Amino acid sequence: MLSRVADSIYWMARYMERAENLSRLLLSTQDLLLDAGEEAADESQFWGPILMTTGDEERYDKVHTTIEGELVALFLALRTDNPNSILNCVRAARENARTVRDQISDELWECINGLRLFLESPEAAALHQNQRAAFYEKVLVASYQFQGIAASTTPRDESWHFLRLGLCLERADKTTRLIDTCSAISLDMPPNPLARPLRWAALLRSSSAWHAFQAYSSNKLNPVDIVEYLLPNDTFPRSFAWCIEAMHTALIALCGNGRLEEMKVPVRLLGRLRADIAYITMDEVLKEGLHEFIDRLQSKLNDIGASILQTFVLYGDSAPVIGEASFLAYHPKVEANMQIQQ
Amino acid sequence: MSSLFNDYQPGSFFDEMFSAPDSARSHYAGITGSIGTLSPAEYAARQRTADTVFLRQGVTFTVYGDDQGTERIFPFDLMPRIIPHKEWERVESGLIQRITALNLFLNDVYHEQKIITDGIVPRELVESASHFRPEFKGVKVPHGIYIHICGTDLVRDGKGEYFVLEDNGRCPSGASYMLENRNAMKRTFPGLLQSLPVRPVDAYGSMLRETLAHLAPLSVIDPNIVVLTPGVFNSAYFEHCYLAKQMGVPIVEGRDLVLKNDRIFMRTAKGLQQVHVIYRRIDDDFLDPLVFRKDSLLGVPGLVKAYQSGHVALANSIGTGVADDKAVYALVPKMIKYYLDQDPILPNVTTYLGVDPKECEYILANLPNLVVKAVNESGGYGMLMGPHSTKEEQTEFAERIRANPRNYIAQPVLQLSRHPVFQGDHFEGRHIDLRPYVLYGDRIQVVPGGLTRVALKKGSLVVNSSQGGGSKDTWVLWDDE
Amino acid sequence: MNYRITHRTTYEYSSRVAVSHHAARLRPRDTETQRCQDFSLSFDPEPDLLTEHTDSFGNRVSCFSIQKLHAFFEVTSLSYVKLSPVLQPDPAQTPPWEQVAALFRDPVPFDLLDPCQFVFRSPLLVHEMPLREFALPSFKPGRAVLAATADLCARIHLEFVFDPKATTISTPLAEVLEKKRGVCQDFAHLAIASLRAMGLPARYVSGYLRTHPPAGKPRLVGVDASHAWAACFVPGFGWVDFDPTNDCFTSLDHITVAIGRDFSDVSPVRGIITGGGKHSVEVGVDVEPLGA
Repeated sequence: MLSRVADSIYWMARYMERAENLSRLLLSTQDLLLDAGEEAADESQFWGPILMTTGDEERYDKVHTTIEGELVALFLALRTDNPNSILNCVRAARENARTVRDQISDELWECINGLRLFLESPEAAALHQNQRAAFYEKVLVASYQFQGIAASTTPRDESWHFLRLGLCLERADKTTRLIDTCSAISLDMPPNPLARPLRWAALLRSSSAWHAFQAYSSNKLNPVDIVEYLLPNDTFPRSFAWCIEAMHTALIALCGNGRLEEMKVPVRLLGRLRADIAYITMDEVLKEGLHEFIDRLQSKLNDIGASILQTFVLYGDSAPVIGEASFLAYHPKVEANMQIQQ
Repeated sequence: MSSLFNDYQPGSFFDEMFSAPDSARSHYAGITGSIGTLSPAEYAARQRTADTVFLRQGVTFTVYGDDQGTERIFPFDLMPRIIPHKEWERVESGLIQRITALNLFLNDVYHEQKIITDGIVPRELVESASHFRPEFKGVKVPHGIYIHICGTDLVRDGKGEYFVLEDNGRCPSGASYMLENRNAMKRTFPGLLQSLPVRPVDAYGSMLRETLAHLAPLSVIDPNIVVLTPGVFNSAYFEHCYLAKQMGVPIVEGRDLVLKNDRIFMRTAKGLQQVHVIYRRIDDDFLDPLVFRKDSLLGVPGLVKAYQSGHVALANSIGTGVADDKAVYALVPKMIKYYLDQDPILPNVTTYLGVDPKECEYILANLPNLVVKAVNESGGYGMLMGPHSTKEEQTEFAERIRANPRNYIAQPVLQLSRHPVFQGDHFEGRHIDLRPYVLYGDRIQVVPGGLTRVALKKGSLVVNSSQGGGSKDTWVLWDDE
Repeated sequence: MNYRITHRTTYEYSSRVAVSHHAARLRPRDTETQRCQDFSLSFDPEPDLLTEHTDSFGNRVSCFSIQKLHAFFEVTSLSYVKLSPVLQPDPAQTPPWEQVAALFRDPVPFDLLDPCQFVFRSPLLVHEMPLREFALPSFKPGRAVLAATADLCARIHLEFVFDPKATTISTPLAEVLEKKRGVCQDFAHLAIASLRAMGLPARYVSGYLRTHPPAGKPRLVGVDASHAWAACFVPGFGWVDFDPTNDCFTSLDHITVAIGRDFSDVSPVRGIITGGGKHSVEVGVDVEPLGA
């Protein structure tokens, strides 16, 4: 498979997953506010952490002076000047799909293209204005469709593995960022006045894990249990450990296991992270500090993402990888190619 | 007997199907007997079936100037064009003769230039042709073949005589439509195709692959072949993908290829993989930004050097456009005589060269009766249709021709042959041409069939897809009845 | 006469470039009166790929690619060139221009095939213009070809104003002719196209020109620039270079780098990049005479 094709499939999956996560986050925050009662008087304490999760604080501050729900929701959903908005993520997914259209199924293409067409339509803006929940649900359903179609129409060759790598890496990253929004609040249970069960419930909802967690834990809404469920526990398909496991499967399929000296960099990096998360106890996590622990996971994830790009796409070029920059796939921030002549 | 063709009027043109009203030519007997018995509604239903096949398969071309990248289907007319065995034999041998001579010509002008020193072709025509590549003088190309894939445009005049209108020796397109048209016919009239001795065209993919593999460096047993496309925004992107799939080879863009040690590699997820043969669907000008003038990111920097050093083969070769120049076209019959000592089997359309002072005078004196074309333009640009032009247009063109005679040629207006085309509920005659595909590998093969293009607008002579043209399946028969 | 020539091309980009490819024609040619004794290229940053080849006009071409992110690129050539005096035929003694033009009509003798490629239209000089009319006053019937060319050269110098602001690389010749302004490249193109309009071969020469400081002033370093002129063909002698910008035949001051049909065949450094945003290019040339 061509590196460019691999890169585009990988980013197509990442951007679709990013759009889905963003929609769910906005939906659950909105729900959280409805339950928050008096606490909700200060909106910014709910919407601020969201901007932190998506890493868009700085960009938001450039266009708005105050953090208001309306503005944040629009900024993250439909603003074209926010490269990470749902709209721009779907556009990027679609552009990447377009360049490899002959390599993916027609159904998959139609699903992505259909979602893009909707998001660019006036109906989408109206729906977001009037029935925000329905808007987010529509994006969520399209993303589930994308995954279903991908699962049932993609041959289990390199295309599938790159698609899985992109999807799971994005999901693992977003799960850690979600948990991080709660890392500053107390891990205590009620009746301790510091306990914030609502916020923990929102975390579960943002991860689609509410029902699954209810069935899993008898200790309803124990923060430590929730973190355990979303981090080292590998049973739930949005937990960090589950994503790492799925990435591992895909990576081994792509480059084999082999002896340590011959092992490709992403396999080694991922293997270490996988062992780390499999054998860590919650006590150790809490001792290190939740935020610090998550920080460490995220930096490792970044290294893995960079090494994937280096190994499969940029190899041979000694170009260092900066952030998520790559010059093969389409990204919303990407600069137009230009030519010069003297 | 009542028939769909009862009211059909062949008119004063050469009609492919009817020699007179109600009198079908013998090689069409097989289908007048079956299709003719359908009711207009039944026929229309079949046409719709075929259209859906095209849509579903995504047989489309992109319309330029539309940022949505709208994809349209190339209108397909169900009624096949039929060519009997004997007629085809002549076309086939004529095409083989022509591609042989054109390749000898190219090899000659890029090496010894005997045809110029012997005074057959004026030096100016070659050296000033915009597609002539001085960089390629003296460069050996694999097997001395320059044009491996040729899509020659043929037309028939009022008497049914075949003429060569244009040799497309650069990047001829349309082969995918030829294949898909046949598929559509198989879906809509399966029985008919079975009952008639129609020669199959579906081997084109493997023939093309064979032709390309023949170009690989001799030491390579299982060469890596790729199709090089300008990318998804190109109007023929569908065809590039289609042909790559038919051959089972990767489709690549310039940025997927890199140069190392004068060799070309493609960047795969597993590492660099050497490429031996490139079926390029990018024009010369865009192929290598370091050699050719147009700066573009479509091509591969260094590709020309790799080609010159023999580590990678290109189909078609670079600089073949000099044989496509409309003024050079006029000399092809002389080339055939010069290189092969034969008379051309397929004649040229009479062509007057602006560069020849006598012929130039004739052109200027007869503008109202001629079609004047600029030698390096295509797709109907830079053209004067004498009989349909105004006095002002003629004066303007006369000035242009006087200022730059080298740039113009003129031809008499041809009455292209017509073919019945379904129009809602009945058949009407429309002008057509034929583009058969010739492949030159270890031997020369002509695909039995080709793309029959139709000018769908009544009276129009323009068959281009971008200007309201459509297409038909072309049936070459094993026999003459 | 010996020279030491440095030619520095510097690119700066507003954002980083991922890949860049360049082709450079910087190595002075060896001719009958010129010898390139040493030539080297230096780069910052070092290219990942560097190859050399000779193009169809005999110019040496260096191709280099940089495949790491960079926001700055500089290529510098350093050449040592030795020039010996150019032997010029007596213009009045050269054959009549009609006789020369006749030689280049079919069939062209074998030994004239090389100059013959410079008779025809070329990529930048294709447009039809009243160039014949412009040239005719110089080409009186029976006039010696070199005398006619010298006259054409003098007329361009006289009638046209040297004005670096009037034109750019892509200004068409018609506009130069109309405005009567331009730079050395335009004047060379004008002379070439005029000669060709008369059916005579003419080629484009790019190179350097030694500048002479005003009397008593020291030579300023780095103020020189690339220069361009033209050459016409005199049968029995060969190519004679002439400089319409300065109205002279070339001398010990003109250092030849590359020849071609027009500028497009010889552009000193051309390149293509991915990314980079806005860019700026700076060129510095220094022609240092080292004495005889």
